[in-house]
Amino acid sequence: MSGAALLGFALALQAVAASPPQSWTGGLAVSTWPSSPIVAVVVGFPGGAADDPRGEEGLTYVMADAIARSAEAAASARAAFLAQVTREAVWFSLLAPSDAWVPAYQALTSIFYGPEIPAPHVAAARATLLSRLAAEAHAPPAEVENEAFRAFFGSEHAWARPPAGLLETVERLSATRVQERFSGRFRPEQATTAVVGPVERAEVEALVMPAPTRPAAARTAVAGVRPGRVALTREVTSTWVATAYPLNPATPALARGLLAHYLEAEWNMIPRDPALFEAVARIEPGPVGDILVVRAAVAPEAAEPWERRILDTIERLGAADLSPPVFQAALGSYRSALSLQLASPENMAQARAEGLMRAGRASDPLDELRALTPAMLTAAVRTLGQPAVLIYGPNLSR
Amino acid sequence: MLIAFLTVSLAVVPLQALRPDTVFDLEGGPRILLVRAAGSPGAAVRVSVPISEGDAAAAGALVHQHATLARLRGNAATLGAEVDAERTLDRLVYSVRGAVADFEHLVWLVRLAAGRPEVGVIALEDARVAALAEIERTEEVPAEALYAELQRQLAPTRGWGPTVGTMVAALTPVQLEDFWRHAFRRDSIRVTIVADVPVEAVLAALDGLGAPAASPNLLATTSAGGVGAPPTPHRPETLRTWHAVAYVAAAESYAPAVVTARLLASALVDDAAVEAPRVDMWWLEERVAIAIRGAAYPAAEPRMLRTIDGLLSRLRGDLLAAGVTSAASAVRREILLGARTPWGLAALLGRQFDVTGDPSAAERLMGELQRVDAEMMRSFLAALANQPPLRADIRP
Repeated sequence: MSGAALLGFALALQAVAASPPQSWTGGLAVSTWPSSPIVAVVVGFPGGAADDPRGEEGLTYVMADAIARSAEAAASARAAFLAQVTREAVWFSLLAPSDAWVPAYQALTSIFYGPEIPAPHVAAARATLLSRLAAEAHAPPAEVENEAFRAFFGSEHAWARPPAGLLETVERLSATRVQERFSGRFRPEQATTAVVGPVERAEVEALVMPAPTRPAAARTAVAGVRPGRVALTREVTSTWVATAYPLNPATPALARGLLAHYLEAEWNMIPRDPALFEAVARIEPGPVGDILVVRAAVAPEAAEPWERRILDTIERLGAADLSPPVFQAALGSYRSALSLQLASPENMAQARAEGLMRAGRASDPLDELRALTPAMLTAAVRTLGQPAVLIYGPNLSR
Repeated sequence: MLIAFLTVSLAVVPLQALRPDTVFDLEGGPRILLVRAAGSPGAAVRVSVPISEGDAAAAGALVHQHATLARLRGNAATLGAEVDAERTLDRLVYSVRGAVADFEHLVWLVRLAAGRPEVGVIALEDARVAALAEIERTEEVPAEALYAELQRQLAPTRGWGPTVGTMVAALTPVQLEDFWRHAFRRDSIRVTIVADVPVEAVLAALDGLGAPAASPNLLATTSAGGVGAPPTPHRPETLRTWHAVAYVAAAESYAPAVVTARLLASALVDDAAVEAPRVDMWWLEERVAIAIRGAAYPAAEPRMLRTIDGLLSRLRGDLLAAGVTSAASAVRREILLGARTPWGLAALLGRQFDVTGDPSAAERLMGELQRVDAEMMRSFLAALANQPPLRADIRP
């Protein structure tokens, strides 16, 4: 890596640490799709799994899943409900036929603004999570996921803890503790809501009564990605290379998405390296802004070349703008992938709600795509912070 | 160019959302359904053609699918579009999806699928190898072999007969083109489009799709002679006994059939005696078949056979009005959820259109699901039980 590039990384890291991004709470986004037979609603609340007390990891996950199960029962199975817990937020989504979405939404809000979660659903949520964690207990991909975040942030960091908890912490969770945590946890003034379907904004506002979008309370966690390299030896048949780069908060969201899309396409380009099983690049929220996370599963003897290749690809992308034809091809492919993703109403609702929560506005992601340039992609790469790297696999020197 | 044109009003309630905004016939074909999916950034185009009876047509469809899909995927990948293909007992279907901003590109892919097959020697050989591998897999996998046997009984001239493998192996470029000329006749192509595009764009894009209508069916007259005697179908080697039954009735209304399949599936998965339980529904123009299958190791075989063979009778005896209402509601929800994307809606509309020939068939099905009651169900179950079921078994 060149000295200039290293200096760029160092400056970027300081920028990341000095100016944590603003987060927002409240607000409503409505997308009218007149011919959709379905209405999708997404409601998000700030504060996710990273807020679980140490030793009680999985608490928010069980609570949120129990709420979704309760709502499904209350709506007489006329709608589908899902809870999603990230480290920074809790999201509830519902999908319902357009003549059933209003009672389904009312069923959902009556649970999460209500006095308590029906006990059978708490028990069912806990049992289901325990069953999942037991099944994943010795699965390398699950351990890689957990160890990667320990390597990225440091093992003591709240964001290093798995959002769904650990087998031993969920086993200890009591129904009483879940109800205590739930009490007053969700408040209407904190709800960020997005609705997509054959609906008009006025009718949605009459039902949702949205709170105005305003800055969220400052987060207490201020550590960024911890640069460095961690190697874990395990008796497994593949090696995983996981890296995380902190992104500059000033980088536009779509430039981040295009960067991840381009990297993934380049590494998986056909004919693919036979030593590569899978390479995934995606943008994930971090405690002080988004991070670019790359995970590659490779044959153990190819781990070192792939680690170099990942770092080199990113360095090369920051060295010069992509040529216009290559950039346009990447942009077209990204637009297509994004269009396919956002053609599902629940994904569009999620994207718009996240836009409100992260940027305080819910613009159409595809509209912003037109403004992307090769220089913006290059700048996104040049202002990346230094990476944290995890190597997880067998020791080949023995 | 346009000989029939029907526009219906934009609607927002679930049932009307399943009605095409526009149905039109280009001169000489194809017939096109268009749903203007305003607001959605995605687009889907589905094209389907009938497959003639007999192994020659089945072999042509199989090779056409593998050759065309390989070609489409290569072209779709450059723009991030996605393509897929499926064969039913009587139709070959290609589906394309991507950004609505790339609609012209998506239609170009459809034109590739429906156009004269320009398949080189190597690509044809690759397609034949892939098709033969699919036939072998079907013969080796018990669950697939079981259903293939039931479908042979259900529609003897449809699907794969005993000579399909040898016909695939010997299929020439000329025969593949013959298949295309007959199957992709303009007047037999059906296209379903779900995209926020104007009618004019669709008309321009699909003009001249497929083969001229007057094409003779040369492939149908091609005999299996010269490629050896029909081979004996393989029997899969298994450790478990596999068993399937299929009940057939006239398809006056599809709603009771869909609800029946749902109720049978719920009852079957609750029975621990049956491994790999599955219930499927097959639409065959004026008939509907409900197939039930499962497997068991020798010790549990008698109970598995009793369970599967007695499932329909038990449902007739235990049918409750509340259960019918609940199952119909669940099916309706699942269908609507499946139709929430442009490609899901195109699949639903296109499939119902293929089966019934009625552009509003999906909307009608959903309406029937709201009205289906215990009395209608009893009548349908009696019709199913009125004919002896088809049976297939594979034993260790």
